[in-house]
Amino acid sequence: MKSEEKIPILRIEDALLASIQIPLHDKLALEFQHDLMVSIEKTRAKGLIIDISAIDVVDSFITRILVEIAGMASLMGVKTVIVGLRPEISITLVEFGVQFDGIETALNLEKGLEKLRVWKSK
Amino acid sequence: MGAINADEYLHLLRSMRNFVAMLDTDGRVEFMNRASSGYAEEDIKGEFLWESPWFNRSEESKEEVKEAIEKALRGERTESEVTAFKKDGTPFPIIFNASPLRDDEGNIIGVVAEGKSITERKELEERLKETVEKLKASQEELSTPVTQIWEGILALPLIGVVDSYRAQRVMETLLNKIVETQSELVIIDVTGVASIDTEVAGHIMKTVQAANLLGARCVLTGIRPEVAQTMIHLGLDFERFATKRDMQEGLKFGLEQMGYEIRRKDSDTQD
Amino acid sequence: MEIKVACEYDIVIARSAAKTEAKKLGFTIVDQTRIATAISELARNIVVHGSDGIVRIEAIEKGDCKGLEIWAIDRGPGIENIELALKDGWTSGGGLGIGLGGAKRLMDEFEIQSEVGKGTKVRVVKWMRN
Repeated sequence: MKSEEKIPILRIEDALLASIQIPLHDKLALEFQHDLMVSIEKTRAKGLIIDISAIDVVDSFITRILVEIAGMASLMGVKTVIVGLRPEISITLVEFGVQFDGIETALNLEKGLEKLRVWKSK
Repeated sequence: MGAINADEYLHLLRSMRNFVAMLDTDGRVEFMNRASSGYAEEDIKGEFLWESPWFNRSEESKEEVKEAIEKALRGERTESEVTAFKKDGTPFPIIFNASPLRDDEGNIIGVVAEGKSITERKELEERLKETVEKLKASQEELSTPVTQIWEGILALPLIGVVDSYRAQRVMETLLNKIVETQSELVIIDVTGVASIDTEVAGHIMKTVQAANLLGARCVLTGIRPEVAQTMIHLGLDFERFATKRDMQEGLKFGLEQMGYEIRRKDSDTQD
Repeated sequence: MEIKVACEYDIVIARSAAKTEAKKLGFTIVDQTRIATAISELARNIVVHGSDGIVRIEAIEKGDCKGLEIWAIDRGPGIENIELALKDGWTSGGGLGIGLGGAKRLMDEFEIQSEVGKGTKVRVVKWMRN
């Protein structure tokens, strides 16, 4: 059964922007990943920005979801940048021992887009 | 001067500043010196003290008062902080004392219950706590100075003995500042640090990793020989941060990273 | 405070409750986040193995120190090799495999008892720094 909530995906320049505002449980996470990949294909987006400024706890599950998204996007030729990581979460993630492999981060949307532009021009 | 008569005793009790009540061996109010907080004597007399409107609005207050009175009936004096309620429902903190009331032979014939409002005291306590917090915060700010030296560039000169607790606070301050100022570059200058132990080195590495996670880069400057030795022996991951000789070099590096070119004005003149 | 944990939504409830209690006690935002993250892992451990259990949150004191004690108890399949489970990279539940070990690193005290077929009990404590 599809969950009632959906995470909106917007277009900015030639990138996609998704802002996670609600708790990402199993079903919703899978749908989110699916929607993202479909959007990437449809829009031929070159970059993906995920805004997690509304997330106050990042556990191993969320980390896995994000790492998977970056991996899937990468297979489709798209670079992922995470923005809005809260300072207290950055400390917790380091202590927790999590590796954000293959994921770039930026301080805000603008800098995230800048990173995508730089990556594109390489 | 003669003996005090019964009337005078009564006046004495009724004029007391704090609340005092005499309870029977069941805990019911037989006498109380004043009605206060908006209640009339009829509201309270004859009731179990814990069932009285002072306390019956909160299960916690009821339980505490009941327990104190039961202990007093067993001969134990108690003192506790309890929340009482005025007639309009406003809660206020009191110190509640319950003591056994004994006759001349020493038998327990009831309980003496006393209540003293400590609203003022609590308010002072709160204010004191706040002042201490503010002092602590400003003391920390002074000893962990993170300054923005350019748009998007933060500088953190670590000076003196850095212990584990301070390192932790510095890390939190720095990361918050990174997000607050949206700075992508942090210059951590350790010229003023003579030596660090493995724990502090670990904290610095943690800080660098966390900063990277946020999207900022770190440049370590002014690494002294002893510090360099510790870091090598720890096998730290040097790819995570750049190193420069001093703050000046660090700033130059940072500006160049951000796309700036530094030239003297008079170098524009043609030769 | 006791919270039943049986499904995914309960994980969020449990960690929010832990975070709120930590905030009430006066823990810094970083410690609140550490606690919430650790609890999230412990609660997830219960759910992921298909059992149900409870998360118990309590304020505790040791002399002058205040702390938060949290129990995660389930009657699930139990963990066969606890040492292995605490090692990073090992996972049986589809997570990143750093759940229990990570939770241990984030908290000040960590105790675990587990019996195969009977269940698992985890106790963690975070003390407030002065």
